[in-house]
Amino acid sequence: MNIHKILNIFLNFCIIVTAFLLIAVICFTAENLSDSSVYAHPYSRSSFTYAAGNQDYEQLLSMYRDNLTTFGQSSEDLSDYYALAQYVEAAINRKAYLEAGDTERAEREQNIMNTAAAALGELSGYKDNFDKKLTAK
Amino acid sequence: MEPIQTEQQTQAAQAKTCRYCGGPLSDDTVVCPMCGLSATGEFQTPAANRKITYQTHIQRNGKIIHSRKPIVIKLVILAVLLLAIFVCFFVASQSHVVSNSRLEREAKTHYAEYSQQLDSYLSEEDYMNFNIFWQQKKLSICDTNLYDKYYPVSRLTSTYAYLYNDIVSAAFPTEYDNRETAIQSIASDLELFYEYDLEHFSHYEAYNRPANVQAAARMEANLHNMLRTYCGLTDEDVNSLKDMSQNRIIILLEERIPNEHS
Repeated sequence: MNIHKILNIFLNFCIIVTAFLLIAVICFTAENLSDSSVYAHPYSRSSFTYAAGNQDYEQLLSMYRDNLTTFGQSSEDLSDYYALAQYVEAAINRKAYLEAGDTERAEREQNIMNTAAAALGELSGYKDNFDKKLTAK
Repeated sequence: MEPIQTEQQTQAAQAKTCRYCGGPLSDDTVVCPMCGLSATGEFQTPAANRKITYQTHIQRNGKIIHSRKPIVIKLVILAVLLLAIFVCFFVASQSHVVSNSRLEREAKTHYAEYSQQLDSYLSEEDYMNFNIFWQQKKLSICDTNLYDKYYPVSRLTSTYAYLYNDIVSAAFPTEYDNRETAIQSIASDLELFYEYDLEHFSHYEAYNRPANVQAAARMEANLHNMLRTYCGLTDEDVNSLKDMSQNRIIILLEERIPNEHS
């Protein structure tokens, strides 16, 4: 086998490998262009469960807002955990308004709490835990 | 590849110039170095000549002569493929520019709808959702003046959201939370909130329009309420926060916030 033949085989190999590489790069580029948040993933249901179980309300609110900001309504059905986050936020606001004597705004937050509580489903236990913690404040 | 050798080839090789391009040929040339066609005259039709130019081995008078054309073509194909890969990587690296450009077009197209939504959040005092909507649509990176009047408030709502979370973290700590870290976060974000007030953005058009002034005042009042309710600050404390240094705020919060894990 002379060097000419070896060079030919090598070039054939290079062309095939490069062609496959190009196909992969084109797919990657197309995906990147279609969605700038391709590397991001919404917080999952298990993350919300972990935060709610640990009574980590700051984390719960952060994840809720991050999901809404980056993905809008997540594909996975997290509506009950989103309702829990809305309830927690409204309850925190309501207490602050009541302390300040702002009954009008406190009433508005109460309405949000009622709507959110109705959408909690099986997560009402987490709501009760939060209520106890909030009352102790 | 089969070696090719004919009498006609020998005759053609004796010619001094290529019959197709007129390029100079040496006596033992089989393939014209100028045009790549056969210099032997074996094949009379262009198609046949193309055939011979793709032979990799041509034997003449017992010598093996290699045509370089197939290698050159393969090298060109390889170069084109590599160039295409480079272009794709470049485009991918600039995808945020493409994405931002798309969002900017949308922001311009839907200006009426977006501004109505933003105004609605402000009038409802829903600063959290204002911040979410602003970031979702990436309105701050849009190279347009359309949303300038919202920009100062958007900065405030962003800091407000961070501060809100800091206060919640300090008020409802888990066993893993670090109290000092939460307090430092409140102090540094409070400093940012006061520093980047509306006046800081006075170069923006309509920075102090009534809706912005009202939103800034409401957010400040909400934060003060939160600090009073959940961090134990007094009226006197919250009224003097603006003039305090970050370290002074940290000392104050350490005094006021009960240590639940002590």
